[in-house]
Amino acid sequence: MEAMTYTRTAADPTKYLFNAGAEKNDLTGYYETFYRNYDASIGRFTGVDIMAAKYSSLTPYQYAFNDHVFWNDPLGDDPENGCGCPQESWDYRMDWGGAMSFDQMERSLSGLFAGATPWSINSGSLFTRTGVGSGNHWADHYRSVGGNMVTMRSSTFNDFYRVDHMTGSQKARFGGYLSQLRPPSAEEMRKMGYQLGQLFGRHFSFESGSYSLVDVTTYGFSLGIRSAIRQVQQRMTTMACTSCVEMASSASRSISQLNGGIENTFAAVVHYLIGDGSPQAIGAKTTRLLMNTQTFRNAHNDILRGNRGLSGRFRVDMTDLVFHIGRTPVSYKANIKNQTITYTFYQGDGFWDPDFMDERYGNNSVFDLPPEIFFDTSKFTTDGMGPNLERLGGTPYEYIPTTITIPMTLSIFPFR
Amino acid sequence: MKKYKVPVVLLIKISSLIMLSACNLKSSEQSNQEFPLPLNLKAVYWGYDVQHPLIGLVIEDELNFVIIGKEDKFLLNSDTVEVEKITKLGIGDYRLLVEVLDTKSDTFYIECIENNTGVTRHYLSLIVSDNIDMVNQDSLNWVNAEEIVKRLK
Repeated sequence: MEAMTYTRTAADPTKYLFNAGAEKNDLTGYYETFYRNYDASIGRFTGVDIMAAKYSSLTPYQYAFNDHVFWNDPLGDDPENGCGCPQESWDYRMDWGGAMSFDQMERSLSGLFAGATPWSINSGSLFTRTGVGSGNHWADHYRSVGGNMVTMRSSTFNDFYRVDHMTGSQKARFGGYLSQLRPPSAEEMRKMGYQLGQLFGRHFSFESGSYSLVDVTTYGFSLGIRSAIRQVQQRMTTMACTSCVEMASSASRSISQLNGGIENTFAAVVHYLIGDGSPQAIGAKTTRLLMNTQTFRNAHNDILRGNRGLSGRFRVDMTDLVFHIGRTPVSYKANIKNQTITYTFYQGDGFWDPDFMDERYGNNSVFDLPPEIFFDTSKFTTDGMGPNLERLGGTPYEYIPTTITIPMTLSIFPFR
Repeated sequence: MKKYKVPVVLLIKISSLIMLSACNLKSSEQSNQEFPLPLNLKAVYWGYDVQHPLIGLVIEDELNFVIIGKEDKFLLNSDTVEVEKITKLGIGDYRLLVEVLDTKSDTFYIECIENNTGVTRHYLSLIVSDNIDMVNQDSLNWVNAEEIVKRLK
């Protein structure tokens, strides 16, 4: 069947029209991606998707979920969106795929700030080695020179267009071309300033006056677009480093509703010795300590940077800081719709096993001798709740999980 | 009543000291509670001191995020499988193969390799398979999870 096709006529035809990477096989007429061949005339792959099981509701020959505008599938295996993100976290990032002219700057910037998250700016997803604007991303090859001028760092831009390798006359021609590009209008700048202001305004209102508000007009009018973006980037780097301070104060507020809770080892031991085994909340001071550990800060920043999935867990070791917490699990869940990350602390943790030493070694062999020689091993089963040979006859108890929700400081729902 | 107050407080303080001594022993022990693996990964035992019910051996990355551990879910042949237990580790120079028992007592394998696809931003790629023959086992040193747990405990 001959489908409707369009053949571009050019003096020097290129074989690399598909995603600026896949080569067209002249013999078959297909573009050869890493996994499959792509038939540009019908917009379908010719082979079955290796990930067909994952997308059972779609035909295994579909290209980019039949939505070529939004999705891209450069390798032929698993469609990704414009930013090269996997499906799971695509909505973390912005969509900046497709061609973009300088005249469309307002639209693209709107897309940037509507869909971009501060951490993606902070972590430099615009500027990372493989991200949009890196010079290595597929979308960079389709964007106009003006668009790339805005998107890329100066050095990347120069490398991308090999400005440093140009001869004098080439540079003059290139510079002449750039000078013809229309600079953004005052209205466009105002809109961009508004977007930036929203970005900052939301963030700073959360800080409750900890930082001074950014003068929107300073960013919108006085600075060039690229320097404005850089300012945002620098600001957000600072934000990521100090985010734990704001989180700790947020934690303090949340936990104050729980009537204090256990704050130190002494209180923990008292409840162990004379308490009834009822679950206890952990105090704000302890949670603040936890949230200010380097482990937690690193983990939080990594989540913000979009390096992680939408949920997961990690471990914080507070043994040197707070005995009654020791090693504790922290789970998180990112909510894209509400733009929040919810952390749950102390889930499954408790002061129920201070005698784990006895129980541990009671149940293990010593010098390769069977433990039964030394202990009645049935008594030394590591326990959960309830006294089981606990030292000083105390009653173990569990900690009430503390849940803290932190805004991602993302101002607007991601662009779709 | 007042005459009992001092001994009670004293008793509690002494009890705290006993507890803290246990704590010190515990922390000195914990210095070797990580089993180093390739790709900046480590095997860590999540005992009752971390969480109850017991999680057991988990694979963590350098930021202590759990990469593979009990209750984690993976996509395998359009099905979701939940990790019950890590049974074996195949350790290579630049990759790690983890043999896992799922909640239905079936075995599957997760291969951790360096992510150089650019598709995700995490530095690891996990390839899930239920057929060991599909996995390249060259130059892998197999270690039983129990042996690692014994070392970590």
